[in-house]
Amino acid sequence: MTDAAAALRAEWTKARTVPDLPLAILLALVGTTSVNVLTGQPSAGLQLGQAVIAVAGVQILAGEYSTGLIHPTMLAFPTRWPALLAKAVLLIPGAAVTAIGNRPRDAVYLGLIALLGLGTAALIRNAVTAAGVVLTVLFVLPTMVRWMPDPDWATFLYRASPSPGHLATTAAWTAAALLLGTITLLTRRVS
Amino acid sequence: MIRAELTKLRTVRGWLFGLTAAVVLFVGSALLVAAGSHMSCGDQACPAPPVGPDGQAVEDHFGFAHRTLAGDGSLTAHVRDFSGIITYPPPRHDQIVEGLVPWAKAGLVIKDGTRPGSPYAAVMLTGSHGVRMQHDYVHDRAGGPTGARWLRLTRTGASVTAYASLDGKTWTTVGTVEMSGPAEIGFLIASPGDITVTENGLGGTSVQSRFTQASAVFDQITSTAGGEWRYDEVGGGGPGADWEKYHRPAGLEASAGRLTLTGSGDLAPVSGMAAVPYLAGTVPALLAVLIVAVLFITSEFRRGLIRTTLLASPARGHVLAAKAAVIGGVTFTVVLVAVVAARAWSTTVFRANGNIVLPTGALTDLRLAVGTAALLAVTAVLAYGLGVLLRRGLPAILLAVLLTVVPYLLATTSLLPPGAGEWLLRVTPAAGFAVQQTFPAYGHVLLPYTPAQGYFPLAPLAGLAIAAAWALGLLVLAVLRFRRADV
Amino acid sequence: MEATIEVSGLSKRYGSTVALDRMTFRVTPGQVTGFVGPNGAGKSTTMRILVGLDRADAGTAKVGDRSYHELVRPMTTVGTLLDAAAIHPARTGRNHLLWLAQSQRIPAGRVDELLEEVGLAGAARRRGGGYSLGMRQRLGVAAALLGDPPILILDEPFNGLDPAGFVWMRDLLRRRAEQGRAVLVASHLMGELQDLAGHVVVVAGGRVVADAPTRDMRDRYGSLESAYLELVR
Ligand SMILES: Nc1ncnc2c1ncn2[C@@H]1O[C@H](COP(=O)(O)OP(=O)(O)OP(=O)(O)O)[C@@H](O)[C@H]1O
Ligand SMILES: [Mg+2]
Repeated sequence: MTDAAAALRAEWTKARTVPDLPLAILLALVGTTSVNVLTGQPSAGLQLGQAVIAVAGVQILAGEYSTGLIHPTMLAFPTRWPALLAKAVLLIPGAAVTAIGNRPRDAVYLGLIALLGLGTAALIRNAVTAAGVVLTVLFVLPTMVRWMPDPDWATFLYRASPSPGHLATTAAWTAAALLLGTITLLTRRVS
Repeated sequence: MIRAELTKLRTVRGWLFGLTAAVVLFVGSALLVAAGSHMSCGDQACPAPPVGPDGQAVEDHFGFAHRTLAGDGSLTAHVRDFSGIITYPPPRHDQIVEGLVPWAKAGLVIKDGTRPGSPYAAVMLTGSHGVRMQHDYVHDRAGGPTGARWLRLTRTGASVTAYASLDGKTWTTVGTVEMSGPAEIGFLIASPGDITVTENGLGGTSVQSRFTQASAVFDQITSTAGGEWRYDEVGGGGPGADWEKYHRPAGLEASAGRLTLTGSGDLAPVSGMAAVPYLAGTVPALLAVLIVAVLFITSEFRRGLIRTTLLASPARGHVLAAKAAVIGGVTFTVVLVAVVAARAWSTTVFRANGNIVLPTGALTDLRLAVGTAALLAVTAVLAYGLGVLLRRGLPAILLAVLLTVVPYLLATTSLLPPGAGEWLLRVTPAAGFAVQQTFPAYGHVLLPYTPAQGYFPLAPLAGLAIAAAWALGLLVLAVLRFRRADV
Repeated sequence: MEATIEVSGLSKRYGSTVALDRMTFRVTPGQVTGFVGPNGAGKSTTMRILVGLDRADAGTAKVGDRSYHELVRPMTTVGTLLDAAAIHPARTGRNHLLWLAQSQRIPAGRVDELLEEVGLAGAARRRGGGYSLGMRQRLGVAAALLGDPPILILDEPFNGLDPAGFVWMRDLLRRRAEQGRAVLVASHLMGELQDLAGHVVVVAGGRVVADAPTRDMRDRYGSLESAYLELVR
């Protein structure tokens, strides 16, 4: 447990000493709020916000693979999980803040999306690819619904896409990504 | 230089994988959607809609009272009464009301027989669009004085001319079209279904059509063609709506110089039927392409490879242009192959499932294939430009998706009010999706011509031009900045 | 705990490339151990496995009788310098060391102490993206020394250092060894190692080809360089 606490402290220092995460949260917040105000539709702003938050979730881990920073991180936490846990703990409030003008469930949703990004980054490592995959899950699945001729398929696809309306589905995606990502992170070699 | 960049692209396994993934996603999605499309009409194959003179599938269903017209001739009549019913209209959908849908039609027509899909020329009174001259399903023009109730159709030689009049004495020409050969001349009645759009609960919309019927009384008839008025329900023969069974059947009543014609249907291009869904994989493939395009440049920045590249060819503008040409060209080629494969393959599957393959026309097919390849190529260049500009992969891919996929998603689902969605499809790079519109929007067919239904606010090439302008603009900006940047 | 490094029967393949082939050696405290061999011999791979970044296919790699991942506050036991410090381009050198210190529950005061020691005090509040190779190398050394570890594992520590840096690094390594620490240094600089290292492990093709005191090598072949050239031929 002391490991986890130290990791949280270290990750907090990491997060606040470069602009990436604060900037992403600010961007998500401003983007979400302004789209909400412009369209008068809270769900529209969330589309923008979730993209930024998902990428922030990817960035916090995959960014370390790009800069090589993953090495010192792993040297500091050879068991690896404390670092992942600390990043997850940091992301959740950061994401939730974005939904400040929305319903409380949207805050939960954005938290899940941030973790979806984190899990995918642990699984895929390459930042751009991981971000592309998460954005695909978020945006491409819903665009496919329109093409599905069979109402049952369309309904299935619609229900299977993460969305603020389907917290359980979203949580399932996040859980799957985190599970696979954690296994990958714990077992595969770094670099 | 282009050769060198091609080699770079070709020799990184991840990028090859990404491009392959784009193809697989494109073709796979098309197959999946085609495989999921089933159509059955009892135990027989579903009847294909008739094909009109211009090659597109048409609806040709109307009540027709006619005589044979051998050569020249003319028909004049006064529309004494034009009324109808609409079943269960919104908002409550609970009763049948009197009224005409906007494109209900009563008028005069010369038609090459009663075979559905055959050429015709007609002048008609409509529910709320005044007097129109229409011919061969897709052509429509307004004309005549406002409130005209008198209609005349004349054939002289190979031209058919339509007139309208307020009093039956002074006539205004509505239009003239070419049409020769033996024909039937007479009266038409048609009333298309009443359309409502509802949210389908899946983030999209669905279109419902409800039965309507129109009825017209023609009197003061002057016809040069002789004989009986024979009645046919062109393109009919279906089971008939409940209204027709229990209240008022379609048909013709003749009495003392008066004809009363009752019926439903339309003479128009087919609406509400989907083409082969071979473009279904566009957005998934686009995502794969965006990833490759962004990585193609940002990985050079990250690994310092850009220095090697610039040492080999110090003209920075040329280097960037060569890379853009490579990523655009490769994407275009790869996607074109994917479209052709998806089209061939999914058409087979689609047809095997009993679906009707609507004719789209060779030019449209070409536009869809080349246009889709161009759309993805342009978007790839745009993503690449963002990569050069931002130098970092994550913001680049994020912005690329926010500029292209997200507007498309917002516009084609019910997340935004339709006006806002269409606006997005005019100004963002997602405008390029207009190139994928399969069927044109017809002014004389009432349909929700919304992005959700596959109709875009811009013309295909105009939309593609907007996307290209974005890509080019970003690229120029990137080159300008990169020319004086430290690397 | 004894400050030793023990590598035994270590094998590792990358696809069809054999990186390590039953690599076995032992590093004892109190002296610098040179780790030499041609490019691609497997030195860096061995080091990465030692600190748990790579997994071996077979064999064991122990630091202080334990696997690296079993260590509590590992950087207080093993100090590692692999390639020059990887740092986020937007983070200052000081903040980089700060988070590392926090991760090991090392007081923040130690950070400034070390910045002074590695000669980065002046640049400590500049963004890491602007650091030169030598500066990043110094930052990496600082990270390795942060936990005052009894075991040091350094891959090419002289990389990018200026002449004064060479002297400094030499002293630093020697001093740590004299304090009874185990110091494993992979390097291609035979001249440096000849004076610095008390013991040398020569590897080629993923195997140890010689493992002897430097003095023995020098006596037998004349110089460490000739020994190396002879051994890996
Ligand atoms: N991630 C990797 N993927 C594939 N092969 C690798 C990887 N890492 C190392 N290798 C291979 O393993 C072998 C040993 O490499 P290693 O980096 O350990 O050599 P080295 O002794 O450190 O060489 P140098 O003196 O050049 O630093 C080489 O053949 C190398 O190509
Ligand atoms: Mg090495």
